[in-house]
Amino acid sequence: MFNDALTTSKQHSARRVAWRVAAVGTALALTLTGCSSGGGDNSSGNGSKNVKVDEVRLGTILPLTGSTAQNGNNSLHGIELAVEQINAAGGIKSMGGAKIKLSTADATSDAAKAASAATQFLSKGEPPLAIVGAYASGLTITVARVTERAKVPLLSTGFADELTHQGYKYFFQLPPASSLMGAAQFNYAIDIAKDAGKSIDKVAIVYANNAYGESQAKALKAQADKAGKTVVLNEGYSPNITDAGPIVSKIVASKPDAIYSIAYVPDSVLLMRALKAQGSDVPIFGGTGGYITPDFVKALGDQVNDVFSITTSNPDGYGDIGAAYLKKYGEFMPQEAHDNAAAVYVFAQALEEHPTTDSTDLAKYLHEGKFDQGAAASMPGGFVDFDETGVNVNAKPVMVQWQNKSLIGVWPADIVKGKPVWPGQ
Amino acid sequence: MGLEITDLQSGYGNIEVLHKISLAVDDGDYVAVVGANGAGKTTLLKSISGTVRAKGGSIVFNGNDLLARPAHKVPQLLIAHVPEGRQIFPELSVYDNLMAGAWLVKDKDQRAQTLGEVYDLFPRLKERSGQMAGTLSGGEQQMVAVGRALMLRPKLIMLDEPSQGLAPKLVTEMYQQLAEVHGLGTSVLLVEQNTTAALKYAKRAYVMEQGRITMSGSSEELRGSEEIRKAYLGI
Amino acid sequence: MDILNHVAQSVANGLLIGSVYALISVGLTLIFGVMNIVNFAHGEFLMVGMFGAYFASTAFGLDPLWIAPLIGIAGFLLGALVERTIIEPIIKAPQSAQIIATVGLGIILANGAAAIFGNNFLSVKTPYQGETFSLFGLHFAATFVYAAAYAVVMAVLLALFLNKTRFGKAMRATAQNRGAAQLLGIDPKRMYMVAFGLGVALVTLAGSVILPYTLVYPFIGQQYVLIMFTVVVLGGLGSIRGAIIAGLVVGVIQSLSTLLLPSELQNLPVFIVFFIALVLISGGVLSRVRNASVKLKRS
Ligand SMILES: Nc1ncnc2c1ncn2[C@@H]1O[C@H](COP(=O)(O)OP(=O)(O)OP(=O)(O)O)[C@@H](O)[C@H]1O
Ligand SMILES: [Mg+2]
Repeated sequence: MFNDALTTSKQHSARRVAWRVAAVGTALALTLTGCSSGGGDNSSGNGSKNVKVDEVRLGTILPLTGSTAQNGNNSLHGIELAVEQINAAGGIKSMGGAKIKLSTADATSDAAKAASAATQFLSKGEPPLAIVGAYASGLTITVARVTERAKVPLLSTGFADELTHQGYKYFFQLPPASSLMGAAQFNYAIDIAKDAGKSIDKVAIVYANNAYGESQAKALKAQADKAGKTVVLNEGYSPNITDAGPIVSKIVASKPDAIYSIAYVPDSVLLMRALKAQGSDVPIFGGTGGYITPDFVKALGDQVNDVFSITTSNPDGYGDIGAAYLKKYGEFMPQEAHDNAAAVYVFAQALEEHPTTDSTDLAKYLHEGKFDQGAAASMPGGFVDFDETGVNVNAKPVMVQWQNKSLIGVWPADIVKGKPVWPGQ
Repeated sequence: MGLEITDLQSGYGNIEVLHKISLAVDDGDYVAVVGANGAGKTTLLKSISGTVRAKGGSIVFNGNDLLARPAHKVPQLLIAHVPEGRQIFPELSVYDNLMAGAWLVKDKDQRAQTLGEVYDLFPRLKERSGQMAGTLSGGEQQMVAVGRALMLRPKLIMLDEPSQGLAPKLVTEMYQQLAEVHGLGTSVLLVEQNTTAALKYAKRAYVMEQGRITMSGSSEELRGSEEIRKAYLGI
Repeated sequence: MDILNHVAQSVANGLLIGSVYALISVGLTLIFGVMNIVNFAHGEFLMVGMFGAYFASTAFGLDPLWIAPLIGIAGFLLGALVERTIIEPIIKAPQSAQIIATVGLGIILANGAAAIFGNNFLSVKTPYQGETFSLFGLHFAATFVYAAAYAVVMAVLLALFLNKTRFGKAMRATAQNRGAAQLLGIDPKRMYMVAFGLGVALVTLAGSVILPYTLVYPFIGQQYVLIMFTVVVLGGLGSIRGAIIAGLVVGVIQSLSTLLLPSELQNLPVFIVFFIALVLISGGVLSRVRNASVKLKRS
């Protein structure tokens, strides 16, 4: 063996200290950047039925940097596109053609920073009438606490069930909750198999162990138990994995009839590659996240074909806004872009029908109305309808499948046009 | 020619340690600088090799202004410096330590030849050539430090207390080996607290006290001086 | 029999991924060993290498594995430039200034990449992505085998450079005693520039080599930071060989632990090892073993 020592032992002790200083220093630096403060007090404007204003303020808080930045930016694209479309069509006509003025805050991908971004956002200058955000459930939870205190409606595309279990009056969830998504991901798969003359008895559930992955996996597991299916593997993993080999080995060893996976883009791609490398041809049912993104197909090409995923809205039914998105950004409109655009349409329609400059008044109307304009019409069922807890009672999950490298809505038959293809047939 | 130092002022930060020092080492000379702890001897050598920046005066070697050079360019003039405390590379082998001394020697044959000469001078190093230098005894490490400096084939070799920490027998050996090097034409500038040894081997000597040269002359003269005998030779 | 096969497969996988860990970490330890600088931007340089490989391979239609040496050379130049402009001025500054500089550099690189390339997840398609090699009943994904092969080659080249070349030895001399090296005519600034360049070259090359089995996005560096620092601390700060062994150890621990523990805990043993290495036996477990073994061999 060669000798390669670069340092002497005497230097080591000094360096040891230096190293610790360095470690502590970084930790400090990292926490400090996350701490900023601001008193969150939001004085609401005067509500009145006959309001003519130049503009209505809409805020958005999204993870624009950090590990979920892509989803955050996609969401922002959808929001901006919706705002553009609404303003170009004359703004909020009942308010004298008021234009939507959008302001944006970066939640980063860190929950603590998201909350402080929200606080700052609501405390400086004139606060927005409503907020759209914050994409990830983990971020949305902390942001919702702030918006609730400030009495500003938060229109969210986060899935987590707990979001609507807090008794919040200013929180609105457009997509179906994780539990519904998990149940649908499970049951639709069983139904699709039955439709193809197959049966799914043994299932593997693998999920990224964050708020989103865990709540959806829990729903899957509950559903499997209820349906009397055997869960041969129920495995969480860190969303930061750099190698999916070990997890895939476990999947293959458990010999499932179907794989249910909750993953973001990087882990979904790593899983797919490792599954292929280990020769698996078991049908895959993804749980939104990475499985329905443009990057998924860009990374994997033909390998995506036949992969299923549950999602919140049918991508082959996005209509005008979907086409406009494709034209503007050169890729198909991702689910999060669409659903956030729907949130903007809900906001605009609420104001149109119930002109107000008061956030509380707006929140009240959001609970009352039904919203079916623009992108809100391409949410499942054709409209958005919130109950008193902020749940969109009309929300219904959709199963999509990659066919010829395009996402096609394939289940349930009453709300989609496409047909599922069983893998290998 | 040789090394000429005129009115050198040097020190650390705002503290001046050397106050207008002048001295010379002629070609082929063997000069010692003696003085008590803290007199400024090490500072003097560091100022010459450029690792401490001088603040005034001049240092010229064979017509080259040393103060205009960064430290790593001083050895290009064939000035070698054996620093205080040996400063060998503990986790390089003896061989690699010596070869590091020939970093500026681009000619492979010359390196091989000089290495042979160093091994002749210090046969012990040849025996230990593959050993990590940090595991050598103090005396052997001193040989590595001197041998490493010799690998440059210097015109001037500066040594900072080479006898420090050595047993009397080894001190004698070390000085005999240095005399051999000097005999081959290398000028020597020696800094020592060990005044007896220094005045025995050097041709000329300077006495330094608190950053000033207080006396100079041939070693013989200084050995005869009453003051020196009292203050430094303990007689 | 079946369980034995599982263990063997896990160890083999661990060694493959572990050699990649060694390759991505070795530059960090090299830079620290020579310059006494903790390069907190090391993960981001990996990201830069991955982006470089992505764009070069899509532009020229070449496989990232072929492009890797070029990425390494470009990484060297980038590293040297960064050293001259950002690191050199703070080389003697207090530790806190160095932390701020390299952490800041990392943040700038990641956010710069996000601003320039967008927040997309990019990856390349290569013909061997789905291939596996089988040997003694064990299976190896081709992408990992190639990456590991690169790691081995780079480790050998680095060892040869540091131990057999005059320049490499001068670099080690500078690491061990900057002042003494300077007295011999070695220019420490040049050594630092080359060391930093090499450290960045190694990690950018690694980025190119791992691209076929993963994907790149601006913030991917953060995913590798824990591994890099664990490997470097465990291996003994500044020890190249230690980092290589530690990389393999971490890979195998991680891989074996997924046999026994749920996957979500795969980093727990690594964390524990990191903690022990950092707090209790700082200076590096393996460097002690190495020192001991050197002594044994020589006496
Ligand atoms: N790095 C330093 N910073 C500040 N002062 C220093 C530094 N090095 C030396 N000094 C001071 O400079 C003076 C001369 O030191 P120097 O090392 O040159 O003495 P010396 O003659 O070599 O002594 P010794 O015989 O003990 O080696 C001393 O007062 C010392 O305290
Ligand atoms: Mg001294």
